Amino acid sequence: MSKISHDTIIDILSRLPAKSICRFRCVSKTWLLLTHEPHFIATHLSRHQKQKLILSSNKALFSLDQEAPIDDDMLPSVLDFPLKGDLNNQWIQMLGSCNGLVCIMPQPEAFFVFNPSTRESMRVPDCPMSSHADPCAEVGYDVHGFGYAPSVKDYMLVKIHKGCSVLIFSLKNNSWKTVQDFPYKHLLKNPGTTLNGAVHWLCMGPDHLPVIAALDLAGQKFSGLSPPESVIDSNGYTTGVLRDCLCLLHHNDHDRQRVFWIMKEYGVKESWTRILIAEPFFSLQPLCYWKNTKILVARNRREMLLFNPRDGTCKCLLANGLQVPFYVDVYVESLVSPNFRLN
Amino acid sequence: MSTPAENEASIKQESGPSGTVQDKPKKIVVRTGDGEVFELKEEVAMEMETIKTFFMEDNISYETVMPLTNVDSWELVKVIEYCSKYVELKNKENFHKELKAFQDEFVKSMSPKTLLSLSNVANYLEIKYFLDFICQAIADHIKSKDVEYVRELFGVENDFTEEEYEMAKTEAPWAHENLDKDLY
Repeated sequence: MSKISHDTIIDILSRLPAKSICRFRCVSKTWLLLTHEPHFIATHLSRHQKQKLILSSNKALFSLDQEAPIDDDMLPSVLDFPLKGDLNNQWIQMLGSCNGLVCIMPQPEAFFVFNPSTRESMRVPDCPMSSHADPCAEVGYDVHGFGYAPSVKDYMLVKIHKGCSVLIFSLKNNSWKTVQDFPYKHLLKNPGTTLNGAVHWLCMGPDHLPVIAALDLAGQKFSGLSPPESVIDSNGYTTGVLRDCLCLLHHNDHDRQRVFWIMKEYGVKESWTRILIAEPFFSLQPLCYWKNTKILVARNRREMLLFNPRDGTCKCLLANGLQVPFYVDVYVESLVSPNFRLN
Repeated sequence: MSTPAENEASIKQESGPSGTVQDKPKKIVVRTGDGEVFELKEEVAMEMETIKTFFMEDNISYETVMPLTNVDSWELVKVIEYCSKYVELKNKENFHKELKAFQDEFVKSMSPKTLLSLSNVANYLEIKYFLDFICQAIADHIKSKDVEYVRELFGVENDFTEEEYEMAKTEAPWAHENLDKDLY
């Protein structure tokens, strides 16, 4: 048999799950080098755009796959992550995910960027700001976000310290940098929502109207997006993202909602569209499109619903063995290394 | 079988404008590397970019026998089988379902090694959807196989020392667990 062409080998390998590729790195030195090349990793990523779920529950992390054989009854797999099993772990907070990299905080101020598919991880060096008492403190907590800036090919962790100072950690430079002060008020305590190379948080603007603060990661500058006209109080709302569209959801422990908003055209206030959902919720988090036709959402941190956007009907998706309440985010399978700057 | 010289002679006599409308379906003739001559239906032959370019680019008459030196006859048989089916199903309603059923049978009828060598042919003949299918079939097949199996299949030499191999393995020891038990 004549030798298989290099391009064909790349074609075949780029279709494989990360676990197979991690194993086949031991086939030969050529295959080891080939599968670490940025071009190969990019090709592999482009073939693995189907989103999976990462769930945080009871000090552990789990993953759920759309491709799992059983339709209604899903079995989450336990995930390995840095500091897994550590006695000081609390809720594993998930701060965002991009291109297969997930940023987590298993303990206060201990940040990790890890790839659940390859199990590679790196610990973010301590933030220079976090231990300082801040005279201009707006709120008593820090808020974070994690995203990818395609124009500079860098992944960044954002910390908004006590609602006023903003710091950005660059994975490429392995260092923290202070950027402008946070220009808004009443920053809510949820991790930012990432899309279009920017991280978004809901807060209050200078005119006492709610605004969505958008931090462009490459330019490291804030701009403000307007929520829908009828949203007059930022309290009780959260942001989310559904396939590159920003969403705004009501999160309220007292009133049950049936509506959420989706910004069909980024930055265009008039494009905010109400989406009606048949099942009421106290909190709702849009996750991803499920098998191309339905939308998967997490309701009340207790269950997942398959929602038909055409008529608002919902079907419950059971995740066996998952303790409630849980937090969930989406990620994709990739070979991107959190230590890519070292290659 | 006629000699190349005789073929040349008959071509000179019969060639005409390549755009001539004919009543019967056009055939394209090729000769494989191991000397066998095949007649292909035009619509099937045109699925292969290499053949298409050969005839279309310089307006070469269909009387010319195109040499496919890098293709063996058994390989061409398989390619014709796949492309003919694809062309047949292309405009049907159940295209995806029926193609999938055919693909499953096609894969079953071949050993992994023969499937892999077809990838070279798919490349050479430039049949994108066929190459796509072959690569996916091989990927599906090797997904849960171990390192030794894959080396054997691809004919790759292990250039790691024992030490280097163990070191490479420690990068992701979990990736070597829970593999296919029936290996060959």
